[in-house]
Amino acid sequence: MESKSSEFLARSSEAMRDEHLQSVLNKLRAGLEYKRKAAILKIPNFEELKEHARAVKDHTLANLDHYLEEFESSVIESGGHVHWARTSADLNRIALEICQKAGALRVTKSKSMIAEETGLNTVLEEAGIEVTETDLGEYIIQLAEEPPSHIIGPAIHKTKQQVIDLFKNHHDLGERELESVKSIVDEARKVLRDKFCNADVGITGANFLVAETGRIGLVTNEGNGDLTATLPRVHIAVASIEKVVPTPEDASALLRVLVPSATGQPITSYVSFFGGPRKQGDPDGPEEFHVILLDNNRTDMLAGEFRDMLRCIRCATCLNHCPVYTSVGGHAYGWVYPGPMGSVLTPLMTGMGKAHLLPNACSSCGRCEEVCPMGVPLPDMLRQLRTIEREQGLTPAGWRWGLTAFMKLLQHPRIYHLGARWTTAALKRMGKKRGSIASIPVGSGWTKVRELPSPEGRTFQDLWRQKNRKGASGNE
Amino acid sequence: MNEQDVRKQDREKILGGVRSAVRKDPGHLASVEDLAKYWKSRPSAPRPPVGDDLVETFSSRIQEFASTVVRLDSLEAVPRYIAEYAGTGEDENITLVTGEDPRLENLPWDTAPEIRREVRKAERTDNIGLSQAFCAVAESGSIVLLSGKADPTSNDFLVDRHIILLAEDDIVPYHEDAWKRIREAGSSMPRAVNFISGPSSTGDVDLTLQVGVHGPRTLHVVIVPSNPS
Ligand code: SF4
Repeated sequence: MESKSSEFLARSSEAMRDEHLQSVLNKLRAGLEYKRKAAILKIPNFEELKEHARAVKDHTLANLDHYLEEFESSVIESGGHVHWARTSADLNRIALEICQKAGALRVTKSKSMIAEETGLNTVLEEAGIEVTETDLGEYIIQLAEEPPSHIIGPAIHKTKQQVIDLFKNHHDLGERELESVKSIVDEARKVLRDKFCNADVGITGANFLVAETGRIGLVTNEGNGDLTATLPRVHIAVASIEKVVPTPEDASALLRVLVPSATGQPITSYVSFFGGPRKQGDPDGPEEFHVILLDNNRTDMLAGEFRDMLRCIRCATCLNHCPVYTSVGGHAYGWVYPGPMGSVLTPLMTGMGKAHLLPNACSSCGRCEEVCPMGVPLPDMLRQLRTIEREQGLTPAGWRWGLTAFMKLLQHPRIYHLGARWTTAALKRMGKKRGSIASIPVGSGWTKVRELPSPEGRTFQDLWRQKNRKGASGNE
Repeated sequence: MNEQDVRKQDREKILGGVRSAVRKDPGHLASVEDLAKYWKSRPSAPRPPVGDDLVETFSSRIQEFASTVVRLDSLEAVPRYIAEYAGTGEDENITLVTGEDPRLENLPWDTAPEIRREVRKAERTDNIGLSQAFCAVAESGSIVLLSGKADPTSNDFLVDRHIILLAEDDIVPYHEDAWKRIREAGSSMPRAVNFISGPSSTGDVDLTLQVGVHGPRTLHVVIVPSNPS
């Protein structure tokens, strides 16, 4: 997909003014945080499970060459095909070729962030193939012609009424009215059943690639992935190279930390492992099974200082806990991966030039790292990307100038303290009795949307010094 | 260069990139022997506690999310029970789709004449399906089903109401135990291994959990005592 990350500032301001979006984000903030916490409190040794999951992934990444080759030969052994795609364009071309060889007119898809990354739908559609997303969230944004705004809840930014309006425009509802969530879901079920049963090719993503068995693992609540992998003549799974795990047991170990972190459930309704075409005597299943493995800069990440990012299992909990993401939503980030993980991945995959602003969309609060089940050091990596941004001269002039001035100031503590004392006193006078300030000359970015609480009147340093003096005299 | 060569080259470029990225990693095991040694000495995964009563743990965990469970005293009681559970109260026939599972075949179906059993792959219009679990996992309250003649994958996802028969002895504590059983059951993996822990559901509209989106709207587990062998 084309990146619009350079528009982050404009898009995020717009998002802050979007009332619908803000109402949804408020709900998200309250709901998912609480659910995750409740789920994890029920697992007494969650920390131990996390450590193990991380060790599994570290071992796999350190031996990725071996496990990728093992995965490939296991797939071939069970009668499937493996294709290697270095770039997004390669993946799209290979998928299109498979579809065309199969004479496919209709394709169903279950949710895949990799296909979003490569923009696969557009390529298939341009070749005259009908593509239907079957994950309800993906289906909704397909109707709305929008990119996903969250990596596991792609349509999280849509209100119920907006979904009803979309269905009214795109479905033949006749006299029927949609009101409840149930009526919306029933309507989607009816329409998508047809698509499932008439598709020639089914395309799924993969949460895991199991090296030992040549299976792909799918984690869903809807069951759309299972129908996509079972009913059409051809099943294509698209996945990036770091999704490989050595054994099915390792997939289970990752699952133990993935699902509670992602949705607050102990496990999703469906966890499925598929591989190979239907076996002799099987009454159903595809006749062909293909896996397309995508690199798209991941070997570079593996070689460099951002390898830890490849441990990410796309649970989205860093998004749900990020004060920036939960204020501006996913579309502000301008590409497929938003939030803290997206602010690391987007510059690494689409280039610093377009995406250098994203690592700045961070308050350094550290919550993402705290909640990440795979111990991905997101704040460190964001800081490192900001350093690279500066080294490459990409930091906007105003910021660069301001930061340089601030750095100089910090190198002169006397001037800094004096300045802080004056400013604090001045701000106190401005706040007067109200205790807050409605507007200040250089801080309009803040005061436009909220008031600035005025300081008590003395700096921390002053208070500290005073306290120490008192303490010293008290000891005498 | 022909297409085949290009493909081979792309594969080599990716794998070559991976190799040079990991070669110097302290955790990289270059030889097959080293890897084998690693696997021999690798400690088993930590697991969450499950308690001693596996039937109890399994039942309570799967019921946490919208599934229902019943325990019957005997296998013989199953057909009658299903007739009551699936019946509408009026004396209509009940169509029940099942795979070619000998374990289901041997149930006393003559005790429930209103059930019309159709042994085949499920179609999109089928209402009620019955499968027997390969095993179940107490840890997460999950049923394990394997693709094949005895239970085509369509039967687990296309029917509206899915009934699953589960023998007590087939409940294992952990996912690892389920994988062990699957490995022991056949010379190769079935095409599909499904861990099912609830009916089909979605949270995609309004962040509200709604049951019954693409797959079964209800999941009902019937636990029976194990066959005296
Ligand atoms: S970085 Fe961590 S928290 Fe964020 S999606 Fe990946 S695994 Fe989850």
